[in-house]
Amino acid sequence: MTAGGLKALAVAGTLLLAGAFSWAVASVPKPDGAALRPKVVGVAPGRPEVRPTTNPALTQTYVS
Amino acid sequence: MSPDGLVRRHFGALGSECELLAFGLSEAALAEGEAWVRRAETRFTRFEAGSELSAFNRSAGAWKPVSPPMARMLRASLDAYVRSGGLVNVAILPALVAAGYSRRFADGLEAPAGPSPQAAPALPDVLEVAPGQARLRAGCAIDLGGIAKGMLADELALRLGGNVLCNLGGDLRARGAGPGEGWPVGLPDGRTVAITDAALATSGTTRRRWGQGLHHLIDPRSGAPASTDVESVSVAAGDALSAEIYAKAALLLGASHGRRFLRERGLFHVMLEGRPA
Repeated sequence: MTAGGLKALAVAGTLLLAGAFSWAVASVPKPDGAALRPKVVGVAPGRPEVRPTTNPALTQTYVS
Repeated sequence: MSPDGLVRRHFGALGSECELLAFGLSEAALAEGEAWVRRAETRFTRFEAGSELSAFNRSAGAWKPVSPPMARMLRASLDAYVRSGGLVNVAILPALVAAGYSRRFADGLEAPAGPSPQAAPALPDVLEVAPGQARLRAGCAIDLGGIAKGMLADELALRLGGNVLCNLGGDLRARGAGPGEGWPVGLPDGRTVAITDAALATSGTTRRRWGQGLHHLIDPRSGAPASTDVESVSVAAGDALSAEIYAKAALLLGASHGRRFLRERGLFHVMLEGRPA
């Protein structure tokens, strides 16, 4: 194989590895920490505002 | 200690504990709010033969005139079915009764001795709503349960107006910013969050249990009490009905798919996992 062929093969291999790595990263489930830390503004439907607070709770949401 | 100017009213209705809190409203206004909830309960309960819901269930197979509030509730039920991908289905009443939930929970339930559970029918196939009337397919029956609590919390918050929080059995709808930076609400995991112009609802399998592994959340896909690895999930949305729908759907989907379902909708949630119910 010529030097040019080897170079093309190396480039193709690098691109393949990069693609596989990107896919693997995208496939890993994202941690749910963002959802568990209430610095979140939900969006659908409406735009409910939910913030952490140190104030004592005035009422509870609970399983009924 | 309550913040200055807070008025609150606690009462039992809809088979649950209810609480109304407000700034800038009179105690009489909250008393009227309670009376409104009680009137709604007499219309939507399945435990009273004289309720509009019981009469509607008895009329299955024929068109039946319905009140505007009942028509709204039925349309909301159809909408909930679509938004939840069929997981929130009010046509689970026969399955709920077959599981033993045939009377008020406070009266004590018994383990079932009936036939094996069957999947609930697709709601749009069995429920039709037209102006002033509705029809349920013969042999079907509906339980408005969580749909009613969410929708009534939304309607009551609008009726009361101002800076108010309506908590109907854990389904909350808040208007305004409460004592200043949002209404502080306790979550099942022990934390407190402040919500402003928002709603919270929690769905779970830890309450209303009887027999061996029986509970009140029927999976319409099987017709049996849901087997899920979610102990409870609390969801925030713009209105209590939506929070109720999304919380129940996430619980039935299970932890992994339920979290994905809620993330895709950008909804704040707190999920507590447990062994399959």
